[in-house]
Amino acid sequence: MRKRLMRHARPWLVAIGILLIWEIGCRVASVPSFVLPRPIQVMAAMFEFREALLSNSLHTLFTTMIGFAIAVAVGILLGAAVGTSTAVYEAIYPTLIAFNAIPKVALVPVIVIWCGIGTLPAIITAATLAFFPIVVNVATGLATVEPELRDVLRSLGATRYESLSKVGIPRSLPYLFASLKIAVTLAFIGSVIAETVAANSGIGFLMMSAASNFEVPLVFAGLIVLAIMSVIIYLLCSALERRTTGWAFRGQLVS
Amino acid sequence: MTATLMQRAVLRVGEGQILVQPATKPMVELSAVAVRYGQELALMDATMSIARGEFIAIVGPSGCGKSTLMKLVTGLLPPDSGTIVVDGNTVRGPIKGVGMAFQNSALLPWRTTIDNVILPLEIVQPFKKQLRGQPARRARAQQLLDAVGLGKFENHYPWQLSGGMQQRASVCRAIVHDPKLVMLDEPFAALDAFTKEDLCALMQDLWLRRKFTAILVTHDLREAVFLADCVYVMSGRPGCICYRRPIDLPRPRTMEMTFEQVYVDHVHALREKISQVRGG
Repeated sequence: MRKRLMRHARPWLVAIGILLIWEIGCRVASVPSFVLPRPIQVMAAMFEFREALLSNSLHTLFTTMIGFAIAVAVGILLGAAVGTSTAVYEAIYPTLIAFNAIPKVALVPVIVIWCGIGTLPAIITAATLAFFPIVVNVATGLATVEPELRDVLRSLGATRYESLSKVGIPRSLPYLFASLKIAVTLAFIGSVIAETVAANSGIGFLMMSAASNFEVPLVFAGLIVLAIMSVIIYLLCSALERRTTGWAFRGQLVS
Repeated sequence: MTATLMQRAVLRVGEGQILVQPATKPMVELSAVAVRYGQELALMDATMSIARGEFIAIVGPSGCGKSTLMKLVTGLLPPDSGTIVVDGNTVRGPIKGVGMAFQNSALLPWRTTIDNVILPLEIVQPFKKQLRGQPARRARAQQLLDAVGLGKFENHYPWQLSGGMQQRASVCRAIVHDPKLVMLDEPFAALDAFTKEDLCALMQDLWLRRKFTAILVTHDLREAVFLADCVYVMSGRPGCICYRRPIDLPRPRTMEMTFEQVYVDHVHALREKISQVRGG
């Protein structure tokens, strides 16, 4: 009982500890609030601008989730193609890696030229940033099916569909969920990047306008809201992961 | 060139059949089969005939192409020359419904033991199309699990089982659909000596009851003599079947028999042959 309580308390203690050190450090070194606001000032800003923060963060959440959904769909399809066919792998993998190496910040202005300012560039940036780890992981999960298992299925006379549905897909699910946890945070990064450059709503936009008004506590408030949203979505993904692929963890705790 | 060679090989085997076994056709027949990997000849002039319901073992130094031979028979690997006939049909692609067990159990970690055993029943006819399939398939799998002493572990996941139990489950999966042909690629190699003995005895039981045709690849000569009607010795690089020794010990064989002189003589003879091929 005590142990369980400790386990649940630990992450909170760490977070609170960091905030405390931050608060005390700022007070001791008397850092001005336009350089680094103290947590209490940030919280005050959060309260003061709660309506703006709420509407803008919901907007960011919305664009991120749409971008993430696109990334998941594209990622699974591409990953399945790359993972099941060596020809596809050889043909498109170099291009994929090259595309992934492009800094997406550099792409945002181009996307703006194509789609204008607003929600669409944010969705596209989120999707382009998030799909790559999904492709790689799904492909890995499918490509690393044990050769013995492949032989078993082939000598039983399994069709392509059967071996995919009975072995390929269940086997790659843990890989998929591991990548979803990475991809969702990348999607947040993508949408916020696009919002800071080319949007008139969203957390990224809010932070940029706050920064240009030297409302530094509000900038940090935006960061913290963003962090909280990422953690919540991450936890949702890992809860889903545990429900569907508990076998891969042999009953151990993961998140 | 290849065609004439193949025709000649078929002819030769055809004559042999008439002379030796006029009544029943063999289950597996290899005639002058050769395989190369790139430049290297991996298997050379393999000719053998396995009767229906026969249990044969293939022994030999590692890397001599034993596993290649198994892949050939199941059609997973096409031969470069020669012909392979299984159950009267020339093998041209993967043949359906063969049972397989390997050194690692290759069970699906997301399925429970019984669901792993059911897997072939979901793929192979007539079980796949069975009316009210799932309960019937489950019952069939459960029956087999009971027979191998895993009756109470049907809902355990593979990682909750010991190595020996995993291997039992793997053997169940290999034979649950009543395959005509079962391939055993060193299935007991990773087990401790006692578990291995248990499983050998179990394997013999299952075979005596179901009479499938089995091909066992192994390093363990005692295991080969215990289980097989006939042991083939392969030499390495290029692999070739260089010795055939029928084991005429009565069935069922027991662990006590493994200490008797006839049994030991078989093992010694095989051992000597293997040292010869390794040395030469």
